[in-house]
Amino acid sequence: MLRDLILRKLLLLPLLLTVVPVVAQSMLPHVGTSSPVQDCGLTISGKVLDHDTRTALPGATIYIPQLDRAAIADAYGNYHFHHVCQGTYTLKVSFIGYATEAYSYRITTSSVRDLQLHSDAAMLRSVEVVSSRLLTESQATEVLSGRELEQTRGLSLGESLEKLPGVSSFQTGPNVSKPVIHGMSGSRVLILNNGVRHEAQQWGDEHAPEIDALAATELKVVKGAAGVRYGSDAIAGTILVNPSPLPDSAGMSGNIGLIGNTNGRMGTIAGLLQGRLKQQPISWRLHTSVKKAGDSHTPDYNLKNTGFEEQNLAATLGYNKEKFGAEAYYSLFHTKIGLLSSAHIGNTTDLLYAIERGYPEQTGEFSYNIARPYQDVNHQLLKLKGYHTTGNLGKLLFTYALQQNVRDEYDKDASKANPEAPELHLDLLTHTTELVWEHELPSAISGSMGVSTLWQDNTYEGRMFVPFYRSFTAGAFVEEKWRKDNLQLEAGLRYDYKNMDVKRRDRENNLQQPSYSFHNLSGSAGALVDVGYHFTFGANVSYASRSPHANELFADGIHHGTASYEVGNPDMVSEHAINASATINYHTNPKLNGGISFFYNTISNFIYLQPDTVPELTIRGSYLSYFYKQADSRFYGADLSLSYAFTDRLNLDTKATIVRAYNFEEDQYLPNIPANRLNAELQYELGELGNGNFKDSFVAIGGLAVARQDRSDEQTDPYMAAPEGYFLLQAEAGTKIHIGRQPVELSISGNNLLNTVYRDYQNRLRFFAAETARMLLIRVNLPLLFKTES
Amino acid sequence: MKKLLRPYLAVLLMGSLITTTSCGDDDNPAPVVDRETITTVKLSLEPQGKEGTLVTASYEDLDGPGGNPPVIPQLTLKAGTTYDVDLTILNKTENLNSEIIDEANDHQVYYTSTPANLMTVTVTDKDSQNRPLGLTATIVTGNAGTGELKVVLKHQPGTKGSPTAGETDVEAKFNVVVQ
Repeated sequence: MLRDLILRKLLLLPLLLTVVPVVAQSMLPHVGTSSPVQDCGLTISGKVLDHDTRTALPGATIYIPQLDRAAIADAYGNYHFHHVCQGTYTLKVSFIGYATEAYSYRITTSSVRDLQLHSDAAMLRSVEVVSSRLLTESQATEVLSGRELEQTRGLSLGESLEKLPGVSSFQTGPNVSKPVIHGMSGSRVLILNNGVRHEAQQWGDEHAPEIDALAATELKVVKGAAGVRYGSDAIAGTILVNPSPLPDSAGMSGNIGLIGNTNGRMGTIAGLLQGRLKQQPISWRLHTSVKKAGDSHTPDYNLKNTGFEEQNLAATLGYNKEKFGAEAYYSLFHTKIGLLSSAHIGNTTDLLYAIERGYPEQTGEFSYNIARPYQDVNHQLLKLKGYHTTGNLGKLLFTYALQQNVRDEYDKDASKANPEAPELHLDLLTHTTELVWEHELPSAISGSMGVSTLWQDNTYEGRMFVPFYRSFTAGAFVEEKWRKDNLQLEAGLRYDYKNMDVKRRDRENNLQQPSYSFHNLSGSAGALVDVGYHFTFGANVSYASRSPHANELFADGIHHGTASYEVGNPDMVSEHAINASATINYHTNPKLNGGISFFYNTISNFIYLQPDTVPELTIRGSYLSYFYKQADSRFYGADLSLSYAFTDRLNLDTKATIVRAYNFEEDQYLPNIPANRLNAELQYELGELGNGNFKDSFVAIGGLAVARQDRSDEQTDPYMAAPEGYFLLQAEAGTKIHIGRQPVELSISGNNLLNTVYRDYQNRLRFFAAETARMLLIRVNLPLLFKTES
Repeated sequence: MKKLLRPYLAVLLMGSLITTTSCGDDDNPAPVVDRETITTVKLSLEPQGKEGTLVTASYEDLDGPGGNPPVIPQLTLKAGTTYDVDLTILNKTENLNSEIIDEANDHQVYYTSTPANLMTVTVTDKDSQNRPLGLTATIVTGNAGTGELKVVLKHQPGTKGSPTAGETDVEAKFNVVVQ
């Protein structure tokens, strides 16, 4: 019923998209002057600093050749350029005794850019810094944005994040991928979608995050326990999916993106429209994307029933005054994902036959048809946010969000009594509120403090996998930073109370209503030192607790994908993690830049699924029995990223990730831990080609090497040993052309170009089929600039 | 601060009000209804020419997966004898054989005797394409001995013919004594 309704709403979407701009246009005041083509009220400002000492450089000159305008830094090192139009500008900074540097920025909104100069007088060559990796937090963080993010367009959120060191993904076939940070996923990885805790059935290994990756302009990953700010359960890390801020200058702009994938013949169309009214501080944005894909294929065969479709809609309305503002946001996500039909099996004997066979029993021909087994998921988010400044000290923010996650899972064989109904229907309703005071005190202290609540109601129909439950969580936190000269100290503390009332049927159909309450404390302390010579050191120790999920307490059922029987443990307690990390960054250098971070995470009562030695015997034969257990465990490893600029056009980027994980209580390996990964890419900037007809052109070639997971054995993988390591060849190219006055951005990314046949340890369907073959992602992007009516 | 907290509490209360009214406290998980699960595999063996001396045994898992495991029953047979076999697949008392016959082209029952010389099983019924189905069969016992008979019902849409293909619907075991 609900699905029909949502689909109907989706059908209205194109209509909406055509109507809204017209409405917005007509709302724009018609000024009778011939105003310039685009918005030119932007400001570029910032400070000019000595890179090593961080002292201001009053008197430094900043020159923008594109505008032929110059400014001189004032007594505090501050500079300003007012009435700047949108565009890409070079800021040439010079000062006596310092090397002249040129920074290029794409300016779309009023921006603050701090410019740093090197006192090395011998270094006279100008340096173009495309992106700098300055640390602002003591915890290891990674950001995917700009061109790097553009090159993941067309991939799911989980696959996009794999670009970052320390992040991998846990997959179920080609279309379901869950982000994994430092070897952990599910409810230990918190996803903040547009500032709201994403609440869905995250516990399921085959439940990918219900988020449109195309709506984000920045993906940020905070690695390590980030419980203080976002809630105690973020033991592994936090992923922030951020859209760009609403436009802050009057006018309207948009974007149309087309993406095609040769493997699965996926087609995607995405549209963005945004604007700001002239006389009212009201901004708005509409974003939509529609994806449709058929069966993927491996180098040797078609993967039957692996198509998917996805529809997204997001609308934002903002009202921003200097002292207060409000924002309303609504998003709708719907997906239907086919699951490899041959991965649905009867019992362990069937599984062993499938492994022995080495390929899926049914391959078939390419088709867009999605048959059983499949998932159909709807996620809706409504967010209301308001803020008010508190004098000069900061601002008070209030956020309320309502989320509904409806997940329908259809088994391979329909029920005869009710063939249209899903075998599993899960409905999760979540209300979250948060009140935060973000402040910046005159005494070099900044931070935030606040309270938050989370209320959830989970119900199901059909098969029982998670019980009915209602839970309420209330938390309070404070997090402060103190910064002076080149030292920054951070500390934070949080307390959460969680109550959960469960309703479930036992085997005799009697209603049971157990209640749980948990008290969880989180804390963190860190330091960041800028030691000069382009080195920054960060160290952080954090503590976080996670309450067991209803699934871990009460699971009791069969997983047909792996012929396993999962059993929960109602007596489980919270797990507690102490996470220590150290980060070294070597940055803003002309040639070599990079960072390395180490982590050491000790988790007491770590909850995981352990294969039982005694199989579960049923009328369908034996199933491998898994039970949720708790054991003191340890995760440690390192993430490395290095880049080397051979020339100002040729650059090598390298990223490596190592994770080790053990249950040290019983001296065992933990299952499903990502293997060592190394990613390298050589990029060549072609710049302008063909008399300036092709701009911002580049080519890149690279590869991903993944080792075999040697830290696995019969105990972690009772059926099939971890697959061999593999290497994938990747390449990318892109350019920008103009068709008439319309700029067109073109790019192509190729993965597995050598058509390597391989299996990945992190794919749950590795027993049944190989990974996908060569794929080419082709993107056409049309930025739209609308003339203001005159 | 107090003034600012007030709307927060109001929204919080409003939120909980909406949810408590939308789903009252009497919402309980529906009792688990029996789906078309198979609980029982029944073998009836009748020695040829000796009507009435029926040997029967049932492999049962009445409480489904996760409860008590099924008990492996025993078949006591006479050496050097030919038996007519009737296999019945049940959901408690409901006979599901007709459903299997309706989908005979997608199903097959495989009989495996361990050791192999304990008995010879020959399927006697066919599907519409003249391929074996296996709800009826004959068993010819060998010399005295003990072993096991495994009865596997496979769902094999489009892949019928090999015991390694398809999805297992039933896997039942019987201890066999031939004397």
